[in-house]
Amino acid sequence: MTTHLTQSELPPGAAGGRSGDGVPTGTGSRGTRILGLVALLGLVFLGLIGLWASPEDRIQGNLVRILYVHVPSAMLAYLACFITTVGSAVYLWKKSRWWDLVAYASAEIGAVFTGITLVTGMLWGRPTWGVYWVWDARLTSTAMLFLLLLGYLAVRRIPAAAPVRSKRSAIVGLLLVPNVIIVRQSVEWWRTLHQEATLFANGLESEIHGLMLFAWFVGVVVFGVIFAWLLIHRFRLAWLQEQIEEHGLERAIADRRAEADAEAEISGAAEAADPSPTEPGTDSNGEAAR
Amino acid sequence: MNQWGYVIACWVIVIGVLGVYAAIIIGRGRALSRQVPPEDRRWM
Repeated sequence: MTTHLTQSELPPGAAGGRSGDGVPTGTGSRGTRILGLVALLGLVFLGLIGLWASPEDRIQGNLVRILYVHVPSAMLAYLACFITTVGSAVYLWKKSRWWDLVAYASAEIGAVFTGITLVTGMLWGRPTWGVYWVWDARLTSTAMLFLLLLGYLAVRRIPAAAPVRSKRSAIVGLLLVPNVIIVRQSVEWWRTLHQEATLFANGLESEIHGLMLFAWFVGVVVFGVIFAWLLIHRFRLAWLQEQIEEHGLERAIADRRAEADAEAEISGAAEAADPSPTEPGTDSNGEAAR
Repeated sequence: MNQWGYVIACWVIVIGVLGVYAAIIIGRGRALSRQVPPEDRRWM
């Protein structure tokens, strides 16, 4: 049963982001710096395509530009849930703490992307539907997914031994993918105000074309890079937290042992200096008084 | 608020939330990495 992370379980990265002694100064590395730069440049490019180059929609007008961040956010939220469920399942099967930390990191990022999806959806819904919120199947199931992710994170914060905490959260993590399926299929299973799938509604056929489709594609790629960057950093942060927890526990045990040894030494020395009292009627050599 | 108001609000929220979240992760990572022995934080 593997309970300790090994060097081979650490995420891939490069040797950048180090202090003078060659030790990383945070959660960054050369690989994540390059990824971060690509994400920033991609975000600028997405802004140019999504806010300026792409045309207005015939029906929605400029509101279609919200969808270039709303849809990728939702897709990355689904991906995050998928990774969390896979990580949770592998943890329960193999007891791998690497997968447990991946699941944890992905769940937190998933909560962020799901929150963004809900807020951007509300801001799109107000001018389109006339209301920020309606208890529609898609919106309600997405809100439930958000609550489930928050529940996962809450379970991780309940004080418990690491294996117990990981097991509890992994059980919650298993529920994420079924919930994502409900969210994804909600527009098919129930009559909803939310529109049906525009992209890949009929296999690889799409109902949008040209620069609109390109802007959506760029959005998914850029958000994917941001997700990868966040996942690596969040994983490393979780790894640091685990190390501190482990070292703290080891230090506490060592301190307690040292304390117990010191107490034993003191009582031993006291016994040597003050031998046990003789029985009444005997002298110091233990012989009976005559 | 006109259509552009909603569009700009959305984009600002998305970029703002992601930026703040990334900054929090980086900041916490830097603070925690000082408490971990160097041999335990070599990102291989």
